[in-house]
Amino acid sequence: MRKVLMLLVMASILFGATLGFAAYEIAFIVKATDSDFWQYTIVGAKNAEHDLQGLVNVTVYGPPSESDIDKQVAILEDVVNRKPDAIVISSTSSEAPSLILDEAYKQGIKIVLIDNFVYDTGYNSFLATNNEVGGALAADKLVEYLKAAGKELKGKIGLVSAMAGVQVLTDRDDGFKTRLAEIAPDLEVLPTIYVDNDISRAGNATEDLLIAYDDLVGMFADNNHTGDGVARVIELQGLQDEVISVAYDSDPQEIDALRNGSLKALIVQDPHGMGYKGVMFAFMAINGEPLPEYFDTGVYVIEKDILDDSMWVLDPFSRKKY
Amino acid sequence: MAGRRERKTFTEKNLLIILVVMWVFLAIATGGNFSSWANITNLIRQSSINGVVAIGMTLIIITGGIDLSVGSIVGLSGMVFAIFTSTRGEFQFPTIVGILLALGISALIGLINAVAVHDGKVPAFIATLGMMTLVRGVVMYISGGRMVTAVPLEYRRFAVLEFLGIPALAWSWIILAAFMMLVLKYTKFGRNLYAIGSNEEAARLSGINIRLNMYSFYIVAALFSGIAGLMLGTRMAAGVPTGGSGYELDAIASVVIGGASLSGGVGTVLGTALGALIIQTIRNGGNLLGVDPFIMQMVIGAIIILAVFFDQFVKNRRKGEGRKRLFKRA
Repeated sequence: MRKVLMLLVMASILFGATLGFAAYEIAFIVKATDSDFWQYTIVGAKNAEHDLQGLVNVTVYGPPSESDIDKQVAILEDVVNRKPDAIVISSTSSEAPSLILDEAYKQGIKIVLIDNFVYDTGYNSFLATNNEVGGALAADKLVEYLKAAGKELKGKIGLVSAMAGVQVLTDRDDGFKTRLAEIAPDLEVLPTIYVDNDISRAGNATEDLLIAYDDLVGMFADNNHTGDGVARVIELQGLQDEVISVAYDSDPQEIDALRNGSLKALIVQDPHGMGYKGVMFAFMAINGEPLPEYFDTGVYVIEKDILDDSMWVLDPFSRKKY
Repeated sequence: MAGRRERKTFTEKNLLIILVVMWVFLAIATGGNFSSWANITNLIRQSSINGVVAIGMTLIIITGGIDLSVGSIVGLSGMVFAIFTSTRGEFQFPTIVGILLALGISALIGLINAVAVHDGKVPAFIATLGMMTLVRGVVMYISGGRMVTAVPLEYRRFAVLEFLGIPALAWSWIILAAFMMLVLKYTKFGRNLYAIGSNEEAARLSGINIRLNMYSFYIVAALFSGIAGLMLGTRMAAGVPTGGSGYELDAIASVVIGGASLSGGVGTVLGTALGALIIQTIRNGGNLLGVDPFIMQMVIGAIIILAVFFDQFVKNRRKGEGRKRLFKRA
């Protein structure tokens, strides 16, 4: 009898404890676990969890690769079934998760979209980088460095894209091309080469363009793997001053390339900020705070001279608090 | 036996014809850019990594199996090397130790594949499909999904090294391919391979140790992927978690264009090498010509089918069976 009583007491204490100190459950779903970029957003999200000192519990989910749209949808279904207080999601598809997300939103789960918009669903806020602006900045920097190298604004520009049919990449490429046509109409952007996010193939493409066009004066690579491939070939062939190259995103290889001049500028988003703010926005939504429908997380332009002062944005792992 | 040999050389002749036609066309269409020495060395170097993976794939396809895990092994080998040798890492082993570790682990994966396929009787497609996912998971886990940089300088330099005007990466492929051609033609290893691939039961009855041979085929195939992983690593100057993904498809395409039969017993290393060159020629040529990337993708798919079709067509006509038979069968 006493044993049963003890058990009851213990159970009620445990139950009370969980009730009293229940942290809000926030599910953080990334596009892919295999890339530095999404690892950086995870650091941001976990840092936010740390700074909220036990008020929230952030659980990270994600498919292995960005092309796994269906796997991400399956993960989302499982997450919704667990009924978290909020879902922060960077969706690989702008449409595939619509119905599930909308259903979750109607159930009262707070939805914060990051990086990629999702149509036909209710949501509390959408945080993203304006990739067209980033692409345009890349064009500005390319022209600036061409001028600095004393080159005429004439000739061919190569464009290496990681993958066809991905909205953020298309935005970057369009922003780049539109802006370049405005400020340097005599520079001709060659047909885009898609390389399935393979560094080696991005290098091959660069080698091929160098052979095909004597008047190739610049390159734009629209993510980190393409930037790595382009930079590697420029470095190996010693063309740092011949072919001015600008790339998007950052990883250790791109940072080395910036140091040795094979890339002149990196256009970087703020993945840490995206993850951090995503969780913070979710926390605010849970507490009924009003949120902007769209929040621009901004881009940074990193050049060699400010490289050492920019490590906080280039390598968010250095900011890990947990 | 004589009949088969004739068929084999015949496929290789057909492939050479296709290649030469493509090269002449591209040389004219690009105003000589394609045929410049710089581009020819580019082309061979660009083919070399897939070329080496495809040598291993040739062995497995001759046994009547298939190896979908090669791309993941490429990634694993490069990542293992980078982790153990990175000058910013915790091990900082010398390059040679890194190479031995990378190849050793690759060989181990090959052995596991072989045990699953031979002893476990798991179909090669399924065993290696599972292994593809498993090994990629290992790569992600040991790297935390991040790139590993600061690999030794001499390793990075290998990517630019040249000998007699030909890149070291291209030499690696040429030497490995030539070596395996000789091995398949003149050694017991090679004869056993074709014997087992043609008819395993007959091979067993004639006293060939099937288990030992199967183990060695899968281990050698994985070793080639391991070497390719190191070659890719020198080119990227880092261990990349996604390195090598999708390479199994290029390798299979090269082997199949090269005249190997998926039902086993048929295939040559030279044919596979020509197949790898054909695939890279299309990519390289497309880039030089500035072809629309989506059209290029269609062309690569079509060429895979057409190359095999052309080969079958000419073979059948040679055998006096004529066009009618071919189309009837289709």
